[in-house]
Amino acid sequence: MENCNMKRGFFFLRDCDHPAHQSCCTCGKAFCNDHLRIKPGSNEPVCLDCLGKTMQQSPQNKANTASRDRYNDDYYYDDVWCYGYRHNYYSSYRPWYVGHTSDLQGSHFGENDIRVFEPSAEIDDMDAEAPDPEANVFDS
Amino acid sequence: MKPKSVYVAFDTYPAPKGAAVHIREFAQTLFAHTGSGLLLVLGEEGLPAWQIEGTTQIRRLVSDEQNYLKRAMQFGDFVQTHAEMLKNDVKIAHFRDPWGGMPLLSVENRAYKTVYEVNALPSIELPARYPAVTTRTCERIRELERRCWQQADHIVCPSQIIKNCLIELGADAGKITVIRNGAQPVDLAQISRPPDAPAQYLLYQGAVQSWQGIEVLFKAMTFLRDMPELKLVMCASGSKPRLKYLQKLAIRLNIDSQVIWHLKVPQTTVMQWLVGATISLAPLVECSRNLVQGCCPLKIVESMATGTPVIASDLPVVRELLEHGKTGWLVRPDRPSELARAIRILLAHPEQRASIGASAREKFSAELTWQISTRALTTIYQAL
Ligand SMILES: [Zn+2]
Ligand SMILES: [Zn+2]
Repeated sequence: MENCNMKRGFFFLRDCDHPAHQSCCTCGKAFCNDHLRIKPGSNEPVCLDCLGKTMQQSPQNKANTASRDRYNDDYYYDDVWCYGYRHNYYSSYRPWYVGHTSDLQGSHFGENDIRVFEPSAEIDDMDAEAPDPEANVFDS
Repeated sequence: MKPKSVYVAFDTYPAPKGAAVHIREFAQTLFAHTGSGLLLVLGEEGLPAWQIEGTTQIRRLVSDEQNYLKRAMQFGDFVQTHAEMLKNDVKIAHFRDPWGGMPLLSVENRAYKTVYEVNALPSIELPARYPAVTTRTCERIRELERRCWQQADHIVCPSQIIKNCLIELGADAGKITVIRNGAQPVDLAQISRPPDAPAQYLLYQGAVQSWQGIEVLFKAMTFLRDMPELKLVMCASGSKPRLKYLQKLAIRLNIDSQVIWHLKVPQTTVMQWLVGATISLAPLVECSRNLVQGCCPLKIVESMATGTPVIASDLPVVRELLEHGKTGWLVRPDRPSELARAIRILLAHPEQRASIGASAREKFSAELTWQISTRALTTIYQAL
């Protein structure tokens, strides 16, 4: 069988050189046992990359809360603590609450703050930043 | 196994840039200190959302959100859920920006201590990147930064300039430690100059943002046209439009026959060019980014590591590293003719070049290796 399709390494990523054992039920690629887990709620193998992505989906996107409860935290806790399956996901943490401008106070961000951070508003067309001869960058 | 520490950075990791090396060195130091650790960073195509490497784990936020602030808030939620989940297990949480810091500090009844590593302040950097940012928005970001340095148990920053900036903004001087950006020691016997290198060349290496002063350097090259054999090698990395603009500028200034471009070459190749260079250049611009916030220019430290003499702008942040005439050569910033004159002087005095390079290399070995920086960081972790 082919080699595992996962990357390894803390800084320089390289292909995992272990022989693949099974295919991930989500992305279909083959991985070694190091890089496969059992998908919560089913008996199918899932790769760490897909599992990591699944865990990041917000609970609102999941079908219902019952499905979250099925994935008992303890089942996965030691090796696979999954965020998104936790009930305390709904915390009061909202330091940058986004609402109507009139609601805003303190450091809360509103639409007016967010709007200016669109990629279209970012300086990356550096021609726009061409040197201004008056700007004391050049001395002659 | 649950991690005993967490290192949080609103950055893509790994990535071919200085910040990623910094993250690697500091995160590894933290994880070695606590025995295991979790790195929370931004993902990118081709980087797994989750890696388990022995006692170290990496989790990357997978997001196609293009808006910077929205992505920063998403990252905050990502960090917050991990912090809540691990609040009894993690001993130390180390963060690099308010986007990761706010959620870490918001967790109640947490068992962990916090370290805020301030390399740059978004409230200073973002307006330069997003010119439409208003004062009000900046103040809101500043408020988040303030909460971070008020509440963090310790603050580390790479230069005295940033430390002063933080103190001026109201941070407690007693809990701030300067830990310089390091570089790896270089075994000169193991590195040879590139085979296609010209006999004598100047080197600019690194990123090409406007505050790096490449325009000043190019203008300086126009004063050196009487030495057509003198080349300027640009081992540059940066955005496509910016690089294209600089290449056009070289043509417009009629120095393109003197400039040799090596774009986005690997670090090992950059080191070869650095070792072979007659002079390395750091013509930083005198702007608020370099003056107020400061930085710790890795290109200077790396030049010192190879014993390549550096000509750099005379800015406080540079003076922290280089002493004029002894470990480097300082020129007034934003003055192309003075930069050109300095290049001429050093080209004419090989013995002075050699002595500056040797002294700089000595200073590097004594003060600026990653080993020294990470040892200082460990001392802070121990004292928390
Ligand atoms: Zn998969
Ligand atoms: Zn594998």
